[in-house]
Amino acid sequence: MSSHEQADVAVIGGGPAGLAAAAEAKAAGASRVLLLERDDRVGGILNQQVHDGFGTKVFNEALTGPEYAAIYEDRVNEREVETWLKTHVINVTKDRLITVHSDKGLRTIEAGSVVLSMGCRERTRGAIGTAGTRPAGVFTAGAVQNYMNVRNLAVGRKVVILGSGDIGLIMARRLKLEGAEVVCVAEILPQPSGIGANLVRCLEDFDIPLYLSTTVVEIHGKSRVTGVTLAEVGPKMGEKKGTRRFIECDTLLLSVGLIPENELTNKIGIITNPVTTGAVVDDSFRTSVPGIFSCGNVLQVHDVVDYATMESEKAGTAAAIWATTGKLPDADIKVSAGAGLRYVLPATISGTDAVDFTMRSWREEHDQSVIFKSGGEEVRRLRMPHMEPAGMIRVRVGKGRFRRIVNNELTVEVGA
Amino acid sequence: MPDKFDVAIIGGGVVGCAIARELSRYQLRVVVLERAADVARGTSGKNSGVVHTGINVPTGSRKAALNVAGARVFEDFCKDLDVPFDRVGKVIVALEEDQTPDLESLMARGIANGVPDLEIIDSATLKRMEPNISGAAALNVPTAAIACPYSLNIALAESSAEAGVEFMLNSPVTAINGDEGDFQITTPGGTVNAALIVNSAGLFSDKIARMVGIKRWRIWPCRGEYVILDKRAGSLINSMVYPVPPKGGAGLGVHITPTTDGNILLGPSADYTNDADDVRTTPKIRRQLLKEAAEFLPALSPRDVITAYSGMRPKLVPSKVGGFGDFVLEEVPEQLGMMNLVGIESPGLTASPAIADEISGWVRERIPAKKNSNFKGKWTAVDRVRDETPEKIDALIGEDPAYGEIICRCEMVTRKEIIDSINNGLEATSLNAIKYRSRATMGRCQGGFCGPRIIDLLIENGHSPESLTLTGGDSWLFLGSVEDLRKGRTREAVEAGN
Amino acid sequence: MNSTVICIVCPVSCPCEVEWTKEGGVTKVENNQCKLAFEYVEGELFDPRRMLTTSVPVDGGNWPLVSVKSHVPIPKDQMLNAMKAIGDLRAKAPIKVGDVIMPDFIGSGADLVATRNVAVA
Repeated sequence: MSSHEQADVAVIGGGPAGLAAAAEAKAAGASRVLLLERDDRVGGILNQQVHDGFGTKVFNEALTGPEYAAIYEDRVNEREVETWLKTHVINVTKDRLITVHSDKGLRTIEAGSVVLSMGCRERTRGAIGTAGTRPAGVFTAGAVQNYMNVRNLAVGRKVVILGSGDIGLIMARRLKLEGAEVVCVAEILPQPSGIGANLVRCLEDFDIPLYLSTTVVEIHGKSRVTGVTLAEVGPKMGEKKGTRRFIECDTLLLSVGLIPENELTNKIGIITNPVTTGAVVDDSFRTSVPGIFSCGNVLQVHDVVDYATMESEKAGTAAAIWATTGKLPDADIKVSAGAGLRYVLPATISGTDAVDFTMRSWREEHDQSVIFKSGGEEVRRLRMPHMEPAGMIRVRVGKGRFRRIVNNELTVEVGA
Repeated sequence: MPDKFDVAIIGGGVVGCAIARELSRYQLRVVVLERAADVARGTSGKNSGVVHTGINVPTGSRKAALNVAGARVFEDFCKDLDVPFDRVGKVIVALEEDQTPDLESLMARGIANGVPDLEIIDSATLKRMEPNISGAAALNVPTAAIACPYSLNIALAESSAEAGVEFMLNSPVTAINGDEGDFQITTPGGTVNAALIVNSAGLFSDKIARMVGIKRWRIWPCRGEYVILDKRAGSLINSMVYPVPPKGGAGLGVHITPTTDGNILLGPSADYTNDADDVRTTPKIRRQLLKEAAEFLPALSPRDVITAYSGMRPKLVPSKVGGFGDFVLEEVPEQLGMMNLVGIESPGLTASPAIADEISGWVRERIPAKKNSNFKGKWTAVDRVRDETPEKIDALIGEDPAYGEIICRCEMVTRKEIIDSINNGLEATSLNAIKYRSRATMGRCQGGFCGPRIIDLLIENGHSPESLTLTGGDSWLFLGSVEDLRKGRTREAVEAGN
Repeated sequence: MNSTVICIVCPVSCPCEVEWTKEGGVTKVENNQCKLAFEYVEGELFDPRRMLTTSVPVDGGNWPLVSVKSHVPIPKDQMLNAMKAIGDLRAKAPIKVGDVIMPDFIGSGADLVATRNVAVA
């Protein structure tokens, strides 16, 4: 090994989550903070997200992705976080010994705390099993966003988008503005996957049709995509007979979901939640392995970067406290998702401070409430005019409420 | 390029390239004509990568002889070319007691064909060997092995090219004129003259034969779909797991095969088609593969699927007839000077060194030649960081910092390996040419992250964006810049510089 | 009149129930989670506007493009015309976030400004 280094806090991944965690770890008293990033710049996906809408929660204004990233990049630089670019983490042990691969050779880092903020990747054609030939012209929406907005490369002129995830919707508008023909967006679910604001400003504004309960059943073309066959699906996702139609196009964009990049998390042996596939964490964002924290999209896929930032700032602060004092409040109160919710985070809380719970509902709901219960009694209730699976719900519960908790258990559910 | 070649090999599959490598030992002028933008694009690139022992082929057939002969030398064949090879062994599993007689007859045939160390094991022994597999009994075939089929094919081609063999990619043969000693072979890029022809065109070997008036063979393409699983599922099995072969079926049944890279393959299916290029995948067969594999391996999860793909078998027997079709290696009276290799389906990969040996003999009987001093017995393409020890990785990075930059994170491929793949000896420049040489884009993100960075390197190496393709030909990736899109320019106009 | 207007100010996308008249403007907004919805809804009903975000090719920069936006929203029906107005525009490195790339680019008072730093290559 070329060298051996020591750090109070090592943050893995320099996207929005890692930037926020590193900056706050430094502010919270960690003396050496390393930010490990495999790309040649920090900012992650924000660098390619040239559209606006970032920062409405943190800065109360709508910034573009690069502007939002620049604020945090400046912040880590001002606070003298050490950023290692083009640095690939190949291993992390339970004892927080990190091995990295870069043009300086293989190096090891002994870290007081480790923050996992590796983000997520896009689900691919192979993973969803779209049938047909394997021509050029099938791209994930995020890859096209990168080609267009970072590398100045146009992938095609006549485009069908499969999946109504936010990146797909954003790319529908982007392609349309740049002169491509966006034939339609097809979504297999009966409801859109992206947020309402994007349906309005990306599709409705440009008269781009959205076909719900519809999917691509076959891709055509031997060399380059020549078209796709769409078909409607029934309630159990089975193809409806007689609904097939061919649509000519040269490009198919996939916006069919994001997968947290938890390969390292799993390799370390950290306990994960089967629903989010991310680590099980407490309200300090501690994982099951002492001294290892997780935040941002690797923990749960966010639809608002501001919330990923806020979550990561807490994780960074906690990581610094743990590295410097070895002490964080015990989180003995078990939190579980009840009726109507796919999951709730964190999995355990200490009750010593306010907690921002994040969760997603199973279904679209109107005029319902998110209810926190312990021992059958209500601890807190928040009316939600509107909930949808596409939108993460974030509810703050003040520490005073936690006095009502009995038997160290708290359930969160959707109710009238 | 010389005015005239001694030998023209039509088809850059594993058989054609093994012959090229064998001939490159001698001072012969050899050309390989390949219709696709790279070698290993047909049957040879998409199969299970199994080095068969010879238990599945009728005793006394050419298939059996060439299979067993090939299997005997295959490990060295791979080692010489630095190609991944692993003797993982194979278990042929009887799900129910009543299939045990089938295991016994397979074993008897294996023994007759000279396959060593065969034994029938009971359910408990199977469980010890393969804790995740359930079955009533199994035939244990410990000498069966796996190799990386496309890596072998590419290594054969590139090592031959280095020793002086010419490769003409994107060169489908459209006509053959002349006679032994003076053939004229027409391709879209021009005419090639050669004294002898080796027809190793696989799926198109019947069409090549017909160009000189040989009408006795017909190839029946038979598609096989595969599902490939993430490496995290790779530890579910230790060896290859096969069912008892279906009676009269077109293949060996859906099997579970580890790859030399640590993934698992499920498949292949068997569907006859009229179109040799029809490498579709279908949801029906994907579901069926997962279902059939789960009968042996209940721990399989559809979540582990990375992708599906299809290969194509060049069968000599139509689906209605079924059953066995032997390998054809024949020079026939209708056209002397042309060696036809027809119906080389499974176990063609295993047999390829033995076939190459035989064809080399046929060539040298006709054109005696001295040894070629440029031939290298041992050949290495590129050091692969993922296979190296930490000390070696450090040393490689010290030699060249490009080894220190990981481009493909899923498969741990460095910038150095990508650049070496771009500068391959065959001048194959498609994105897939880089994929099959470096493994970049083969992992779970399927190029979502590394695709753009590989494109950067291609552009840095002098390729224009609008000239880049996925698989050559019309498989273009970019129409131009965002400005070109904005201005309504077509890709052709951008490429022409308008 | 009653309308449902999805607020697009932030990703929460509140489906606002709005009471309004042509003369008196918006009289009531419900189903919103924050105050920003009032201003948005009024704008959407009487003068719909959008931020335009796109990119402009850069000569001599460490990025081939600079991402840009309209510094204030432009009339919604002018989005595609605005792209035409940007047309052949090119920028020259170095560029700083906030630099005006094209002042008042469609005559609506909105400037096209850079949203990324681009250094000289």
